[in-house]
Amino acid sequence: MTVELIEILENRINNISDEELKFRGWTRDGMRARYEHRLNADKNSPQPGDIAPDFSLEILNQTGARTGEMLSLSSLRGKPVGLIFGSYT
Amino acid sequence: MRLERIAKNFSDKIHFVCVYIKEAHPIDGSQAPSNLDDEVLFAQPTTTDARAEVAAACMLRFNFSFPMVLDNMKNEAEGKYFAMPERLYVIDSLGVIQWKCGIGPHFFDPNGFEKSIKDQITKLHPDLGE
Repeated sequence: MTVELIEILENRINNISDEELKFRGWTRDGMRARYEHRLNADKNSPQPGDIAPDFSLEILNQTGARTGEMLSLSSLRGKPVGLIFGSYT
Repeated sequence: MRLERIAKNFSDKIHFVCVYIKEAHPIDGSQAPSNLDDEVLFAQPTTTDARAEVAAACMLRFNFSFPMVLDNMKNEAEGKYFAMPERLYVIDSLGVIQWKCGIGPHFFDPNGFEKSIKDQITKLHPDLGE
């Protein structure tokens, strides 16, 4: 897996166009350094077998409006949870 | 959208929760060319209300069936789960992490997510099989 990780990221670094680099304000060396930093930092992320870190966060309704109601991850025990992290951009 | 399809297929047996985190490619940060094309142009929110507004735009566009919660402005959940810019985890019914994808975006893995979801269902409902 480590070799695959490195290969995919090296391919990304090698294949990114000069145009995109300029648009993003990146350099290839900068990309490499960022990936290495992220991979190293990720060694501290929760692993399979760990108790999932708890959180209590505000629920948004179906239109995205704040509800003031909170959801704690630990309250969902009893059924498995598929957790999806992301943002619009 | 793949994750929406997975959620719809298995939401009777699995809780799906989306944690809306800080923007990956705000216009005042690392803008992505695709966002320019799609006109997804937002600055990094600095307040909870501002983050919720962008989350709302996301929800209205994709019409997710699963609940969304808003990470706080301390980016607490994102920090605990090393989630930037996007990440998937599967947690079993006892609260133990069973699977996670690699760092996003290159190792964001809906296939692995779905497989792990199915494995959890099989463990809880062996009579259902595949």
